[in-house]
Amino acid sequence: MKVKIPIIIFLLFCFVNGFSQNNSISASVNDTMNFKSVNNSSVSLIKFNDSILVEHIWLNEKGFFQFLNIPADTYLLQITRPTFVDYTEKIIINENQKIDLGTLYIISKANLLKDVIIKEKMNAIRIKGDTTEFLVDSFLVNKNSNVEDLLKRLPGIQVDKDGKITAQGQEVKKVLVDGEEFFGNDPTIATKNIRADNISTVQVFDKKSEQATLTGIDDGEKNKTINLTLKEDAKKGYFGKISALEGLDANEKARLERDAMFNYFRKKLKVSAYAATSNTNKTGLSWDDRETYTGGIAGNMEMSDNGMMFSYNDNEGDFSGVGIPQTTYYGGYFSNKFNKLKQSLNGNITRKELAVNAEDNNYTKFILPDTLYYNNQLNSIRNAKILNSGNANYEYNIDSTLLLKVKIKGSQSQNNSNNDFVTQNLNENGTLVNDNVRNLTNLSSSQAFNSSVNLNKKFKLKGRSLALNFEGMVNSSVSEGFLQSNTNFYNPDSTINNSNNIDQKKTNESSLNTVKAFVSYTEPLSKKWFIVTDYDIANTVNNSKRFSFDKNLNNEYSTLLDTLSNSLRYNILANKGGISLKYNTKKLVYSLGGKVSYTDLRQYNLINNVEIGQYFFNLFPAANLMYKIKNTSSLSANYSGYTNQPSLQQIQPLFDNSNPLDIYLGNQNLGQSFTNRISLTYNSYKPLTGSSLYANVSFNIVNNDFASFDKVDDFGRKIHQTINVEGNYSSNFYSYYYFKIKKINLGVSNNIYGNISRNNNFINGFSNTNNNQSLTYGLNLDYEKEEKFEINVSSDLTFNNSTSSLRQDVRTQFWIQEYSLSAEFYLPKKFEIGGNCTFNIRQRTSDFDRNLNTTIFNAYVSKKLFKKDALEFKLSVNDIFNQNIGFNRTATSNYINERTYTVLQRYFLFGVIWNFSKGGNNE
Amino acid sequence: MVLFGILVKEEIMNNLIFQLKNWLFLTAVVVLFITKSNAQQLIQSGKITFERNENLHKLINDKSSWSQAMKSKMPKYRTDIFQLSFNKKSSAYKLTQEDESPYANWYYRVAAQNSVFTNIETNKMIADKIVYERSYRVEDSIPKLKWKLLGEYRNIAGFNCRKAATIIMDSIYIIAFYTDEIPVSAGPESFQGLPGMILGIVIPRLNITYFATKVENLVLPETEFIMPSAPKNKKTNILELKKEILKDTKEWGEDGPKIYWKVML
Repeated sequence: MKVKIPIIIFLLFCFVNGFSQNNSISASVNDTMNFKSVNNSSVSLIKFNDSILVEHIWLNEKGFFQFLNIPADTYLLQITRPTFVDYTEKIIINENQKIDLGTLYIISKANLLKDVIIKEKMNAIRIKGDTTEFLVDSFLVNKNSNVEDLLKRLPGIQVDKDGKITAQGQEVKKVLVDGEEFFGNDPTIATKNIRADNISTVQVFDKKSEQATLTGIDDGEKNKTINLTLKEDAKKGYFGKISALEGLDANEKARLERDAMFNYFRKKLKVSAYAATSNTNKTGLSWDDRETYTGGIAGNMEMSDNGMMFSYNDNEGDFSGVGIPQTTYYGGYFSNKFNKLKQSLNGNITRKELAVNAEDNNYTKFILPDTLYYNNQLNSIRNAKILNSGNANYEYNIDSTLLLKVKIKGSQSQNNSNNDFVTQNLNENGTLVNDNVRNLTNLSSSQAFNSSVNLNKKFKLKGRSLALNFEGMVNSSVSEGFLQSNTNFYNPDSTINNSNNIDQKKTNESSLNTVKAFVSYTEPLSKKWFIVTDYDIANTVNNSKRFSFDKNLNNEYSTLLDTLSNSLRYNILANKGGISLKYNTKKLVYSLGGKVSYTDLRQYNLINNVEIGQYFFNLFPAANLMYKIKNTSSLSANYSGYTNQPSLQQIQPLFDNSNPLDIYLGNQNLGQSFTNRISLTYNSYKPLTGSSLYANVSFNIVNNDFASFDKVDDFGRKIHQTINVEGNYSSNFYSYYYFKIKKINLGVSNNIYGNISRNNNFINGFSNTNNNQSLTYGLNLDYEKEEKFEINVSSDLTFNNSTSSLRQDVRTQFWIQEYSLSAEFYLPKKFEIGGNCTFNIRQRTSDFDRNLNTTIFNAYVSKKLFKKDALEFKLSVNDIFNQNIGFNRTATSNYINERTYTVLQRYFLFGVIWNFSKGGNNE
Repeated sequence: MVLFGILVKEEIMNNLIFQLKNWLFLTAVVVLFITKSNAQQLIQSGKITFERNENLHKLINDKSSWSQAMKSKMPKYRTDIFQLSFNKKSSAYKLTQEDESPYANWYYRVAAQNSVFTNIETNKMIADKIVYERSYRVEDSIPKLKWKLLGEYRNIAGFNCRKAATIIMDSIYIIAFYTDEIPVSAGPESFQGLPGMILGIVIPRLNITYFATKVENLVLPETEFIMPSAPKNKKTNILELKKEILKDTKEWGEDGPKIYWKVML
């Protein structure tokens, strides 16, 4: 019955279509020897012209089969059975034809062995050892032909219509490209997809089986293999960029950004060189240029046990954003891979010259138990720095279980700074208590060298691994500078009570050498349980010589000031050991453990031969839990605890008079603090729905925390000391929710950040508690149409609230609002126009009464020309309304600070960017 | 004549040789019969272990230094172990051992742990697929593939296989290796319809291969072929799933089709 219903339907269908396919093919199958069952032999009906399988039947015991309602066509009937020779017969069937093939006999393979197998004679070609090599260029092929067409032309190689390659009479099982598998197990993938004119030679040889290659034990199994070597110029070439943007700022000073970059590549080799100069906020290479010309972040990337990747940025001596920089930047990059990509080497060298001038204004309100006072500080900063640095990284995958990494990094820098400070301290009524005018110059040069060797070994037993790391660091620096300072202390009636002048030369010499060794070992206890142990030992020797000289009678800086001079050596030996237990399954991962460290710190005073020592025991308990709720969501909880020991500066500070209004005292009784940190994180990402949610809450509770014990003396000078306090904590909450309104392709992201903290300190001997709260809400909308436009609207609202127990009458509350709009439009004829506008609204308060609201509007228009957009003209204007200001507001602890500083305001740039390239595709 | 150092009469000897001949003949026939029947023993029910290999490096196409560094730190292949239980009427394909390596690009690894149960007689299939945050239960008829038979051979797990190829979704070229030594028209995932069991699948465009590593001849209870219930999975059919995935990945640029193809395998 099961068969009949489709037949009826089929017949009905044929009837509707006005013709009948009432044809059939039938036959009985029999074994030639007549005594075996043909049950389960396969009978296939295959279209003759394209080998498409049309129908298929498994034979029953009787061996009879019938194909019904076959469209009229030419077919191949194929009967197969293991150990039997395939039976094939060409059958032409017409409309309404019933073909009965009678009895078909299939023959066992054993009977066929009598047949003669003809072996093909090979044409002798150039032979190197066991490899036959064909030079491709001597077998001229059409430019657009693929490797398959090429192979057909090579003597001794046949390619059949299905792409099967036979070389020297054997089927080729593998086609390699430059010794590597192109893809998978099907040789035709390579031969059909690679152009013949990119091939230099075709090599034919017998390849040992993978097992034999891996184990080194020859199992005798060899496969005929073809290796295609690519032409050098198929992966050789260069590319680069020259750009020059010139313009003027609001003060009619010339502004410019000029870049020149070049990269040459050949196979895996990459060599780049670049130079850039600018006097705008662009003080290095852009992200894209770093990616293209310096190997990007790859050298700074690490991978954790659970497959998470993280990278770190070490842009030494970068511009902080304060002031107007002037930069010149040169560099080179090299990278290569050898030995079948098992070894890699890369290196960078750079030279950066950065000069920054800035005016930096600080306005601070200090809260004292009985009064308030104000501090105004104006800094004029002139800094020039030259930094030369280089690094090299080498990696060697010795085998699949053993990895060696060597890193070397060195730098040399010179720093020249000349800073002027004007400081005023005022009392609650705004009357001047003291003021100070200082000039501080410093000329320093320093060197640093760092190298590390890292060895990672995985063992046969799954989960067992060993890591070893050795590291050495050598740092040294020398500096010389002058301090000129004039301080006046005033009487309540504004007359000068006392004055203090300083005119000194200061020299400083220091060196820091560290040797470190680290070992970590993981042992699986079962499939799910692991034990992780590690140990590290580090020895640091630090020498520091600081001398201050007064002028002698001959106006030379030669009188050594004992109170301000010292020569010290520190020896620090730190031992740290840890153990933790880890449970790891698909759903749940948790670990529990900790580390203990013992530190021996010795300070030798080389002037008076006094030695002081300190010993620390530090504890670092930790517990982590990660629960994978679904493939796309997880929950994790982490606890960590750590002790912090006070610094020597806090226990016994070195007297420093570079700011005569700030004086630091030591505290011999200062103890360790202990921090408990707990954090909870939920993470969910739904790609199909287009939404994601992240939430994190963390708490920090610090026992015996370090806190300042400040006093303002009769002259209005601040005396600082560090003591231990209880009850400090902070808590943060961050949540992010993104979703997409699919109908209009609008992306909406929301984020909330909250912070609560409590800090205790002492002001003029009185205990004080500061409570700070802040809450930020951000909303961002993005709307884009591919290759047409991108629009982004965002807002950030922050509310700050700060109270102090000493002055409960003073409450600091303010809002900071930021709104921004940015848009880019891709117009016809390769025109592009875009801009962004940011509105900053900073609430005025009784403390911050200046109008600091700004509207920053930047815009550009560009036009691209030629193939691959090789040439681009660009006009851009930054800060069209000329309102940009550097701004920072802090309301914390016992002071409220507002800082404003010089930044680059309106300027325009116009220029051209030229991208050029030649040669094949780079990897 | 000296036999075993003993002198024996020729008559006895002749008689002995005659008997020995008869006995040898009988043995030869029996041996022949046994070997023949062994060679002919076609496996009609059992379990096949498949290795699903996915080239993780090929998943990363962009040239950013981040991606390149990630590539250098990831193993090249991820291997998951699946098991296909089969008899003449049914097949059940499911994950048995997931690759424990954490280095996987989860973004591209969609529908990588499918369970597919088919009824060959009724031409029906039930498949459970996890696509990011959603779990589906697809109930439909077994997709009919237009196989092209290629005259090539390959040995997989000790079985002589023939090569066939097809194109699905208008763009994905599939290479299959099937054997008539297992006379069941089934295979991994929902690949079926060849004159023999599929022991190997290669999908070059998606950098995925399935190869059998072990075949066990077993009689399986019917319960082996009952799909466990999954009430939480969203019920759908091939057409609906296609529509839904296409709609949701519409804005994904180049990745969209890749994800869609993998889900629809």
